[in-house]
Amino acid sequence: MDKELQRTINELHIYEKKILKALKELGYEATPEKISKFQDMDIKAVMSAAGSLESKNLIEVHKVTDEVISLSQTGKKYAKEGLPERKILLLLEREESVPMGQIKEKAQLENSEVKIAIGWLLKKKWASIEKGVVKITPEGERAVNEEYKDEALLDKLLEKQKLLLFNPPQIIKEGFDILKKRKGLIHIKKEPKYTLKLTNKGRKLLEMGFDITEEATQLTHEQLKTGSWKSLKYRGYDIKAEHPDFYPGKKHPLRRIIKEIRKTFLEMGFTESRGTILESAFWNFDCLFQPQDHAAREMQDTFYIKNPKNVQLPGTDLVAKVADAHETGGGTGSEGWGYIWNIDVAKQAVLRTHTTCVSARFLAENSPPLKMFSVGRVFRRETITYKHLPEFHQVEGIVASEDINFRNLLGILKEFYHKLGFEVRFRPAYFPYTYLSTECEIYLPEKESWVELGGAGMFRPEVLEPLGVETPVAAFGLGIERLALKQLEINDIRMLYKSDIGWLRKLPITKGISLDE
Amino acid sequence: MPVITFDYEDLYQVLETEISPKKLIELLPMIGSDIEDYDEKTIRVEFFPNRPDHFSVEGIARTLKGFLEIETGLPQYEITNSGMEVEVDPDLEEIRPYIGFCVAEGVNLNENKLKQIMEFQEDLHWVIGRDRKKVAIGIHNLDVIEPPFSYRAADPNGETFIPLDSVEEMSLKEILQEHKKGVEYAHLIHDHNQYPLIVDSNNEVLSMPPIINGELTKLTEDTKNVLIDVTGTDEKAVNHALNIIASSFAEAGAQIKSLEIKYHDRNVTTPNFMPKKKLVSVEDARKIIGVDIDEESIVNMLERVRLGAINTKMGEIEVSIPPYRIDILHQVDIIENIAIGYCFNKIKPMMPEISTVGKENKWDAFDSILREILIGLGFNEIMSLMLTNEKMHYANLNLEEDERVQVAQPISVERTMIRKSLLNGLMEFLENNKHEELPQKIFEIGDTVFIDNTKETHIRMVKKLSGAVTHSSANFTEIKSIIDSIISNLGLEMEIDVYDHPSFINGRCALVNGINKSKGETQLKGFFGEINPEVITNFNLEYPVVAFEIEFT
Repeated sequence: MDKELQRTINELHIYEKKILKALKELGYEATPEKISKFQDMDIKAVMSAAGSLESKNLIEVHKVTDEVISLSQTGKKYAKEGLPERKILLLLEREESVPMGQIKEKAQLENSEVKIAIGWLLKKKWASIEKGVVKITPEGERAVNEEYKDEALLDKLLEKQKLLLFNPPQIIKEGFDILKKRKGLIHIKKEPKYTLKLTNKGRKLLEMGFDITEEATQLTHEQLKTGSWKSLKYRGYDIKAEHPDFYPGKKHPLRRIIKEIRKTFLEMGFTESRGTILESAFWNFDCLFQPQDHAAREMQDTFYIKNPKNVQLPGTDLVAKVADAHETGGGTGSEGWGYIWNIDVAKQAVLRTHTTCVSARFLAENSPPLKMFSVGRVFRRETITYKHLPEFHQVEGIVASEDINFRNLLGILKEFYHKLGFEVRFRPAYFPYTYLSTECEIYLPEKESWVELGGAGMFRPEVLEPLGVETPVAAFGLGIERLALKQLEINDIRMLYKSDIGWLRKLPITKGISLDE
Repeated sequence: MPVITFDYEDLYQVLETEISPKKLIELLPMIGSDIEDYDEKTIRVEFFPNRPDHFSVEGIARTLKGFLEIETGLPQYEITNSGMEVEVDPDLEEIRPYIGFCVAEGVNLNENKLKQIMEFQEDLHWVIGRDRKKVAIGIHNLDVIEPPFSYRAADPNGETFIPLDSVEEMSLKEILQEHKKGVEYAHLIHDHNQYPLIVDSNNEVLSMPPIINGELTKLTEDTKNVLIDVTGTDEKAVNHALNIIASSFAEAGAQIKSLEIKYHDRNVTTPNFMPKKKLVSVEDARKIIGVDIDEESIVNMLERVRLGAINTKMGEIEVSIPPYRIDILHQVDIIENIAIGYCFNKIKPMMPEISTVGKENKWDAFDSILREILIGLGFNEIMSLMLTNEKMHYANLNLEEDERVQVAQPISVERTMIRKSLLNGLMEFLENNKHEELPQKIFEIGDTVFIDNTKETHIRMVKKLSGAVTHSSANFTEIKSIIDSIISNLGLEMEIDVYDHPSFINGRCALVNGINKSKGETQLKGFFGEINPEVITNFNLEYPVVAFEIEFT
């Protein structure tokens, strides 16, 4: 307890100490005004330090809201010159009775005052009116030399300027009751009054004792250079006080996930490749054995380009082989699709719909054994909603080797998803360019269901033969944004591209990174 | 992809046994499907377009029978000759030349079944028929019509009949103009002078393919015998569709009967249920799946997936492929079926033992260096879409439009072109975050695309780095210090020059080059400065913005 109090003393600001000392001297209880006078402190400084002392339970601050009355401009005038009914009374004292019509002039009243003055004259029973003539009453005669209750209050206010209405003497209270019925004579204002009172803890602290010495706050260059720090006392701070927020510069969360994915494949010995986002339909579809009337090739799903509308095709040898594969199977051992392949359809420019074209180009230029991956944007004609975007990222990978098989493909995928923190299962699927096609699914315990996250399979002979690849090729691809939604625990894919900077600033950078071994 | 909806009860009827929904939910994905959702009574399952034989509950049941070992191997459907003939008009050659027919006797229809048949037909229209262009199917009540039938080219104005769901006779032309289905599919035939028509011996109209059937032959719950027609522009696809639908009726217990199709130059009997034969190498199958299975097991796996299989004992299996399987083009497809029969889930994943050295792509690796500098300077990275529009990309930045990659059919006016600069992405980001705390410092590293006809794909990808800072006293000196620190941390020297860029305040914009002194090369170039107040207000911002954009050569 003592230790804690000692720490509290150490953290006290000099103003806080002054207030505590003053309270001790002023009988443990005082108004801020008194303290301010006693310690020669600004009243605002007293109030702010009092707030801080209260939060430390060293004092209690009692607040009483009181009504304060003061005179208005008219009130002051009447206080000095007398109320209009008093003027009439004095007139009546001289003349006993006066016709109504002459009151204004003889008593020297304003137009607006006459009616009110007569009203009060009657109310105070100082006069009576008979047949249009105002006559003084015996009560009026007595009142000539006596101050009425409201007049007493007016005098007092003129003298003191302000009066507290808290617990007033009878005469003031009655005067106030009358005056508040008259419009515009007095102002009534609510004003809080504070009393500071030491608590038991505060008393204990005072008993322990402390000195009021000049204290240093910020340690300065000057103090260090001159050595004055040795004689200075550095006040301890309230370490729980509020502080401003800082936001470090950060990677985009999707970039961080892409980086993790790249790292995973690099660790597994994959070479990174890349391609352009605008491709010929040839590389995006034909070369991947997607028939020219395939639904995915329609305008509804694929972005075709107005400029450049058509692009160049690779060497005629490859084009001819792809044409044969589609029409009859060519030398691939396949039946082919059995239709007439059209070279003009293949020349159309498209925004690539998958990164599989990167794999196809890589296979055309490199010889097995090889492992390759690429990460890039792909485009689908989707309207922007919380679930879909017209562009997103895909990671694509291939392994080509004499010995590669389907079981190995599952091995790579299992390892990859495991590194990202998911358990997977595989089920049959369909893609035009693979056989042993499979969809990888992860289990979502909260939904009690399996969710597909990526496709894979062995490239078909109809794809490989024209590219001149003689070994089997295992291939896989997955959309990264769907994975990112799961890892970042968000539901709206748009958040990744139309981000709220507040979200980016506050998102922990550990989000989306699996820390499991 | 087609989603098939059915009640468990429908499935049990064809299976002639019950299995628990739980088992079904485990099994269905493993035959190649994706379960959409299910409740106590009904299940919705997506099947893939390579297996249209799974688009009916009978087809699904047929495969499940194999997996449940109720019935394995090649399904045996007896087919008899109906003795009916169909005459094909040579005038159809240029319009819709091919047709296939079959009869299914003893069908059992109810309201639910009729609905399923319609959905089945529509899925086939879509997947095999390419929305009826390649193939269209009609199913008719056989008992109200008289063979022989004829498939002929008819005068659009000269012939009339009552189309399905109508009460009055309409001419073929009127159907295209007024009937709902006519309007929807008119584009498939309206360029021809004659339209296809299927009629019976009394000239009663069965169908006007690929548009609409006649009301006369409409199926009801009382229909017992049906006639199926499939017309199209591709004979192989026509036969596929006919085989799939006929074998689905056969699986439900109907007797299938063939018809004689008489073209002007040849006669064909449809449907033809002769299985296709292929050989598969046992060694290839083992090697590529990566599982050591003996020949007998391979035969079993193939029979499980309802293929016929005979061990030739010469290292090969002879496989008989039923007429409704259109997915098997190559030996590799049989290997896939062996693996499906084996069950994907039983194949133990194993990492390959192929040693290669991983290598980063320089283009992508360089991003990390840039990112490190910008993050060190306190910038937040953002990402924006590459698809943008001319207003944001040019007009809002006070720029004139120039050559760019333009999308032919944009999804909206917001996404009509591919970006050439990252600046508008940053400005849009600031606009979206104008109510957030300042200062805001953001950057993006990304690809931009320029037209370049010297390249194979007629474009050139250019990597750019762009950054923007906004707060109440953002100014030229601040952005200049930032640029300098980026360039010097890349080990380059900064050279700047005056530059008039319409997006910036005149006299407060500079051209910048990053020079590698030892090589005497310019390795990056760009510009920076104070954004023009007009541009700032175009993006509805109210504080000064300074920005830069550099590209790497």
